[in-house]
Amino acid sequence: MLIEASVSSLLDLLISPHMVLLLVVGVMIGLFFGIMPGLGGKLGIVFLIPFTFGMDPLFGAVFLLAMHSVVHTSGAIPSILFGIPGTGPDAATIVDGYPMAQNGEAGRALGATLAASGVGGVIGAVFLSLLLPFASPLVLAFSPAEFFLLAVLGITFIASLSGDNLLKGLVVGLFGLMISCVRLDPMSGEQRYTYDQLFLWDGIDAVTAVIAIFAIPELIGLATRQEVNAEKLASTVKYTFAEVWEGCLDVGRHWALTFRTSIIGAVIGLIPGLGGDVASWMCYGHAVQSSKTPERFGKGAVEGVIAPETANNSKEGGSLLPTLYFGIPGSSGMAILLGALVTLGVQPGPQMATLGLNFVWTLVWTLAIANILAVFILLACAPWFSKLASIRSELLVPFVVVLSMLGCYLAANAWQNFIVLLVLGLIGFLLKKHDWPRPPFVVGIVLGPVAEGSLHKAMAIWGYAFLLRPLSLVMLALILGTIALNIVRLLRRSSRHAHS
Amino acid sequence: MRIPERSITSGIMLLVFLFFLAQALFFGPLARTMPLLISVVGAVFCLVQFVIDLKKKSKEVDRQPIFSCDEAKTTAWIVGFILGISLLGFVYGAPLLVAIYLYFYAGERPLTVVLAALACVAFTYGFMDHLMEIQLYEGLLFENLR
Repeated sequence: MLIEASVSSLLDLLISPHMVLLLVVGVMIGLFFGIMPGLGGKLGIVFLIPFTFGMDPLFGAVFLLAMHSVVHTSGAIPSILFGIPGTGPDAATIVDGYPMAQNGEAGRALGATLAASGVGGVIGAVFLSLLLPFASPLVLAFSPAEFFLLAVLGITFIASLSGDNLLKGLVVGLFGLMISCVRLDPMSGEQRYTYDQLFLWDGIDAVTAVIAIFAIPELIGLATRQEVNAEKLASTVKYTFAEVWEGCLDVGRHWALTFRTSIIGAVIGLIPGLGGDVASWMCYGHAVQSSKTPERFGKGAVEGVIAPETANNSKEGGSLLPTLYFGIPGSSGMAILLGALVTLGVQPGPQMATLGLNFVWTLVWTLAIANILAVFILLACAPWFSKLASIRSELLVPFVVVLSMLGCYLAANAWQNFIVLLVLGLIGFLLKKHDWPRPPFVVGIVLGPVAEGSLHKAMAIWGYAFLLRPLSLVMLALILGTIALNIVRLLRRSSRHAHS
Repeated sequence: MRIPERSITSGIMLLVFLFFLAQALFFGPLARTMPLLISVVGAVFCLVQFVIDLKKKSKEVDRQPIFSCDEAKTTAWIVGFILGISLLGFVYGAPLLVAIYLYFYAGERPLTVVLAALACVAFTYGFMDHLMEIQLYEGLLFENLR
């Protein structure tokens, strides 16, 4: 059944000109968002959501995933050429990529990046496809009790992503859950925090909330960021195709490292809350540790480019599994993709293991094809793409504001969403300003209705005894373990600070 | 006593949770279960964070303003965009506001401003309204004039 679903999904994808077109356009847009420092895949999804309204859910999902999965491929270009990461996880590429460019090896570094990203993305997709048969029985064993605790676990995991700020992460996750309560009560139909406003009866629109919490603070940051020197760009961007090809061959020469870091990246992606930064830095560390000449790292070692880039792309494969099957995003980018899927009418969860198998396989193929496509597009257009990074942010800001507002309006056809955008946008700005993690908010607002429904069902069936079910106890142990681990880590760090 | 800037966020979050908590007390038994559960836990966490942020003051002086000058200006522009598009709608409001922003705030050349405004018209009117046939918001002003 799995093989049949896999093959039919691939055929459906390839023989549909509409879907192929969306995949290609999604890849192109993803490459653009990756190369623009300050934009990135999360904002890319947020801005593309309005364009998916009215689309078939599968088509919309292919479009958004294709865009999101290749962001890190092009995000390495500004990292290598002028030491500015296009996206957060690309920061690890700077350590060796930028020195390579300074040593006149920009082309080789770019080639290694492209090939490593492509291979990493494909291995991530293969990893995901190999896990699917094992994931289905597991997810179907979950009852409402476990789903409620899974929502709490998701928020705890994502909150733990924020390192020192576990408490802040939990508060933001709870804030997302709280905002999801603004609607008619699903059990009694009673108004909750809606103040007779019709547009709030179905709840605060998730797209508007995500745009407000993520896009508005980023916009403010974008309008005030430092610009890249255009002359510096022009002088470093010169390289030949032979140099780029040499970089591609480097990935083959270090095939064992490429394979290992791809698998590490995919496994990290599988663990909700760890995210791309952890994957790329962990794999960079692995490359240094496993090298016979670790002293070359930081001075322009090509392995230092290959390791984080494979991990960046392969982790998307791993993180798609908890996102689709459990509704728990594997990374902050997946958290926003999860919100976008809900907007498209796709409800991630256990039903995906049975009813949505074709959907899942189409996304697996999208992930693989998009990564391969991105490599060829970038190989052909790398110099042209790198010039895009020099577009001044002042020119982008007004268009991005208009796009954000368009997204808010089209999400619910209500101009009142602009007020929600402003209020939540200011809260988002404060959160960003004072280093409060924002991804838990998305998990909270997306999982809120699921958590509430599951809690009511679990209480109706088992009462408070739902907490004592075997799987519930496992969940509780995981939640408490995550919190305890963070506290121990914090205490160790503070005692180390006190000693030093 | 001067409250450190960093504690403003935790203070605001605490007030938000207390507000939600106070409202939830008046809901029916079914409707208030989830809001009460979240707001009580959230308020407690916020209170702890607020105290942590307040205590940090004695160790490190936090003199960073909430809004820097540039951030305040950009925020004011975003508010302007929201008000402008709420009043004039996307087709008229968006190009006008893009042009005003680029000319007065970004200090762009008139040619760049005109080209950007035209690009905005092409996107809102041409692409969204005509090609995609998406009904765009007309603006409070034009809705009331009709």
